[in-house]
Amino acid sequence: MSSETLSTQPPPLPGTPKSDPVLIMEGVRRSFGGMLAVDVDHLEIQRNTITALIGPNGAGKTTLFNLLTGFDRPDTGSWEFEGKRNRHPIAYQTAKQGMVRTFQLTKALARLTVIENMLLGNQHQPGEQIGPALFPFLWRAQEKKATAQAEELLARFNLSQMRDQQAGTLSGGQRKLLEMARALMASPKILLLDEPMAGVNPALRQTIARHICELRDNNLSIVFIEHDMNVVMEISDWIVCLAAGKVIAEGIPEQITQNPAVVDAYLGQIEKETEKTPASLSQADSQSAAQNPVSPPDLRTPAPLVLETPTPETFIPTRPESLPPPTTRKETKKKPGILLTADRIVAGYLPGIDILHGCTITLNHSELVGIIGPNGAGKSTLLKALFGLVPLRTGTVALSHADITEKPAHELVAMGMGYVPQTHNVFPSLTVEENLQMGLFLSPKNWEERFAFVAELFPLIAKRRKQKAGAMSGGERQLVAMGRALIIGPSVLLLDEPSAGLSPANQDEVFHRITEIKATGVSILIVEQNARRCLQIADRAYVLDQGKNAYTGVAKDLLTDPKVIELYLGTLGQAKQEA
Amino acid sequence: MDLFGVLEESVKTGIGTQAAVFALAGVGLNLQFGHAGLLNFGHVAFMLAGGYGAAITVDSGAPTWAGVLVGLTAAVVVGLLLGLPSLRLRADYLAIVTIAAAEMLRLMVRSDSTASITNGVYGIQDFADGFLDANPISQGEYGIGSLTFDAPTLWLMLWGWGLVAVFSLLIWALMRSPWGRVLRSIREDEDAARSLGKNVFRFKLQTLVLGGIIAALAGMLRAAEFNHVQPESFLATVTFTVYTLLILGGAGHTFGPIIGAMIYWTLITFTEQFLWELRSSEVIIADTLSDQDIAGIRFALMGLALMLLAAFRPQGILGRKEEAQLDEF
Repeated sequence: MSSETLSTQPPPLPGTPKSDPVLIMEGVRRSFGGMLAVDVDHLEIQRNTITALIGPNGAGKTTLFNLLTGFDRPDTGSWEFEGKRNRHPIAYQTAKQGMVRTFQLTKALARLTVIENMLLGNQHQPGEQIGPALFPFLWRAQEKKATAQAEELLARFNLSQMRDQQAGTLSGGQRKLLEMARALMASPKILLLDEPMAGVNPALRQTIARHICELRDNNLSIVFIEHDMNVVMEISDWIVCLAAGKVIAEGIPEQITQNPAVVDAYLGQIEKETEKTPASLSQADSQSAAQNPVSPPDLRTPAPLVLETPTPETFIPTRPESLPPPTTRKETKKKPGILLTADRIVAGYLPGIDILHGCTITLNHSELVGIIGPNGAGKSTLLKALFGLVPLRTGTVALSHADITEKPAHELVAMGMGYVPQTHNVFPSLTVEENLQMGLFLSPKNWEERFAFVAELFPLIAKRRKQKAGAMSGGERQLVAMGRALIIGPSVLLLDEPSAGLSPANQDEVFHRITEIKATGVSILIVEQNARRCLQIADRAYVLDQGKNAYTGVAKDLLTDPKVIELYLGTLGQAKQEA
Repeated sequence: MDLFGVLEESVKTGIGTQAAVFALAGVGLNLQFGHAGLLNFGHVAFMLAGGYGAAITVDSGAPTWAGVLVGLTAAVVVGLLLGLPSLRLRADYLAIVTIAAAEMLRLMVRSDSTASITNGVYGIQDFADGFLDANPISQGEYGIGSLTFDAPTLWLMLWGWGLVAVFSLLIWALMRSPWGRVLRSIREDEDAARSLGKNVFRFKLQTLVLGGIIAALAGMLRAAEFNHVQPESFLATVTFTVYTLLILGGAGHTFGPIIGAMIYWTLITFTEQFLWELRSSEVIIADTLSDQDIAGIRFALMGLALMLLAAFRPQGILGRKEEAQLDEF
């Protein structure tokens, strides 16, 4: 705990005991291929309270829900629920025990009617057994009772008029309500809600928040995952903050918002001003480093390798013969002027549901621009929209003053745009070299020199060129993916959360490599969860909120802007920060 | 050109034993695929288990009812063997396991090592005499006008359509019960069903076995129709024919497999008879169109019809269009 803590009482330590716990977790761990997704030593959930589970993307919140409800199995650990110890629960039995969950992506059963959806929640229907099912007199009475209960719940959730409609015709918000009402039909003792407000309009948010409070008042224990901090601060009795799978803080809302660990978890830690050089990826992730101890480049002194910046046009592989040889580089020349613009773009995946509501951004030559914002702000969608992966409803995109609004992604690559997706960004069954070849298939003639160029930028790639990409760590894959995007010599590089899921050492490496890429003259647009690190390396940044530009400015100014913290942690967080 | 004769022959096949057998197999598959969403690509394995089970038993001197019992038991065993390992896995694993298992089973009864029981490639003949002799219908032709069936055919048709009626009714009753509601929820989203305390695995296994039992009866009926079981009657194409007619009629609809089977066999026969007729009336020169060509063309046309159906009426003839669209949001 920091000495700056302003609370009158000392905040509780993570794992603090509760007076009347309904759920006690003990050493619950789950890792995915070496990454520890959940690592909870001890956590107690108080009975008949609303506990919010918060944390940045990838903190392990949903994974923890999956473990508790039997949708995933922990590597180690167990938990006690209602005095019963669980180790490897089976999903349907968990629900029968009284622990009922909802899902982040609503699972309304589209082709069942609303009332049928509700009746599925009933746990005492003998007609669900194949024998009694054939004899209606055995289950009619129970069905009638459950229907009455369901109708009462539907009325409470304002869904009565939808009773006989198919659930697939409901709006996103109504589906959330239906899923919650359906979970209540199972008469739970504890309700686990995974982002009950995601994608729900503000008016309905209030309704859902009110329902959650009412349920608590009717003696139901509730744990919910939510990213809307205003809602979290408003309705939670207790908040548990996860980061990288661990409980880093818990307490009442006031204690959480002034907890520096929580602020750091959300905004990312500012790099310590120490002289340590970032650990090379190979040292961090594989034993091969021992055989080949290449000293990591000293990245603190700017640009030790001075690269001549080819003008963006020469990077366009339609005439790749003109590419300069990768050796003998000269000083980077800044070429002024706008390279990429997006003008008031509106886009979304499903018909009628827009994710971006009119975003406008510009990227200048040789500029590194960050895009930050809370979860669900539309950051990744913005990149996909620029790269032609999400159809635009309105708005225009231009590259070097040429309109590329309607262009498909593969044509954009030929025009000098590189895109590195957040996940699944390498071909795991291909070697590093083959991965890079995939990136250059448009102009294979230049393979040798382009490979040399990328290998100079990322020594790791030359060292491991015959290794299968699938055998590499997340950080190494990220470099391979960037290398593949760079090999064709793009003028613009779009990076979607390059540091996501990486260890701090690997994150350092990735951020430094990005500054080096920039030094070669490539303009970079980077979407980052780790807002502070992103702002540290960026020239300018756009802060998105709910699909719109919220703020924009010079990165260094945004780094200390209290408005940005407010966006991440809600107004209450903001108030405390000022105090 | 005898167009009336062509039509008559087509209708006769459309309501004949063959159609009844496939309708019955379709009723079983409709429960698994249409209602529960199980991708069972080895439906013919259940038919084989039923047909061979009954044939081997009766051929060894046991009464018909014992043969039926053994056939049904064999189908239950096949269902458990297929379902226990694969139903907990993702949906596509069941498809892989079933299609492979069906072919394995066929190759097994065909192989030399089992020939002492199954008589290898030749199969077993004349075991259904007892069943056919029990026909209470006296000899003669029955029907309207020239559309008539003889007594043995009528006996088989009665059984076939009778079983179709009984099992359609059974499944209809099941599907409107709470059990059926859970089954439909599993088709929509297994995880949602699980999160509401439903033992999804048990429901899927029940469905696979019950659908298998129905298919086994269809297999027995097919065996009795020809009074002969042989490995080549249980090729994977049988499974796909059942899928074709089920999708044609409307998967997930009680009458889907029935309507589908009738239309399928009517159309197949019509195409075949029509082409023959064209050839014999010398509209098409005989040399250019062999019997094999005709057999091939009718299936090609069926494939084309299915493609058009998938493009313009994916819910089948009976299904509701809105339901098919809900999937796409």
